[in-house]
Amino acid sequence: MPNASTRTLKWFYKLSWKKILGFNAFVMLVASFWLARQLALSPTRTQSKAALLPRPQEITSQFETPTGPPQVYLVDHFFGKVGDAVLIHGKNLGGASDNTWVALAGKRLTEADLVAWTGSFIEFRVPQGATSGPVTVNVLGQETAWEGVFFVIDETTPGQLRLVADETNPNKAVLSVKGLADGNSLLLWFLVVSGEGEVTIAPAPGVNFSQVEKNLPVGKIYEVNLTWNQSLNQASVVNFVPLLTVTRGAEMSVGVARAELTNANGALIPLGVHPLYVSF
Amino acid sequence: MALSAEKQWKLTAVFKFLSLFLSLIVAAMVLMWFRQNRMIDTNESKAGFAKLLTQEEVRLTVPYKQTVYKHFGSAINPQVELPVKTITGYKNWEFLIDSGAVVSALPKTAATDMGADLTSLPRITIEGFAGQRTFAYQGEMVIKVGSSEVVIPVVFSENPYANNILGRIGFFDNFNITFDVDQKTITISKRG
Repeated sequence: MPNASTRTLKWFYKLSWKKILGFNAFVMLVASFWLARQLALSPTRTQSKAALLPRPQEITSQFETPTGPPQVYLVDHFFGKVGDAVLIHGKNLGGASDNTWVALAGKRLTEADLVAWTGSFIEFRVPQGATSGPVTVNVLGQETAWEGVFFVIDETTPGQLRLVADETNPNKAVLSVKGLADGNSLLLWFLVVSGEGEVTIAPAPGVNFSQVEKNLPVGKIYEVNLTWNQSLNQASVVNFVPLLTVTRGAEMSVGVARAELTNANGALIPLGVHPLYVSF
Repeated sequence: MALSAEKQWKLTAVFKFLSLFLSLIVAAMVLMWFRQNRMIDTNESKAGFAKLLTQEEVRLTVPYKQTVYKHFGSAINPQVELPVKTITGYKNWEFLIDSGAVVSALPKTAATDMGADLTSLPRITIEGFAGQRTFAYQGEMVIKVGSSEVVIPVVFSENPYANNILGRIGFFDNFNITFDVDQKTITISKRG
């Protein structure tokens, strides 16, 4: 009596090649049917693939003939890492042309770094290898520079500011700093981004400050100069130390628009602001 | 060297078995390829032969939301509630479907929920309704449409009051969005 495996083998042996070929043909037919269905469901291209090719974005620019010398009110944000977008707000900035250029720390930006250029603002991206320094705009041979300094930062930049809103009172925020290093004075601009009303600034214990207000076309600026007890420098190595309390009106939005930390030799120490805490 | 008769018939039997088995394997691979490419959504409708006419699968259908505006009266709000992946699991967030927006957007505070570090994300500007420019940070979010997880680009706006928006990149170029006036529904579907 043959065992089960022998019986199975015999069954296959007795199976004619005609039947095997017929079965295979049937299986392939079913599979090709599914394949045909898949192809039928695929979208049909009715246009040239060339139309789908992405086109590089050109500089958004419409040259507006200046009515006077160029002016730069604000470089927003005053810090950025390589590749970050930056806006230069001003007046009589013209537009992108062969006779206009922007320079960061004395180095002219290339067309690839420029995103948009109108009479009232310029948008650029921080180029590879950029260094901190002044932002200069030249329009038809007339040059102007922002009075502040732009800082190129990266993940290793220790200096950081934070404007953190109070949990119980959203109209009040504390400006704190980390990484003061050997800095002994700080110049700050608080910009009223939106809304109307007054901003009240009060120093934290151990901090001396003076305040000046000025109106720029981009909004009201509260310029603050700070000096402090040097014990804060040591504390700021690890923790954020509070410097100011800022109180605004209910419908207002206020942000940090400029920050320059200087040491006793007059050298600037780069500062950045965490995007979550740049305004409140 | 001639094989014995016993070995010869066994070898033929094995060969016949293998030819049948291999054809089944090939057919199964074709079917698996088909299923993978079809990306079916098992929780929603499955592609049937009737779908040959519509050529797409329904992923999500939501009823219209309407708002009565002071100046315009009642108008459709193209809003959908979708689960978004956060560090504490999926959370349902409401989005405005906006074909006028290049990319999807969320307020910067959403980045914290999603575990995204804004300081490491590229900063760009986005243009608002009146042409004003706002800073935003380019990242990605994972949403569930039906039961499928979809990764789409998103920008985290510095404006804390920014709306949750579903824009064109990653959403409109992956899904068909149909506004059905008769059924008063928004249907998000995908080609089979």
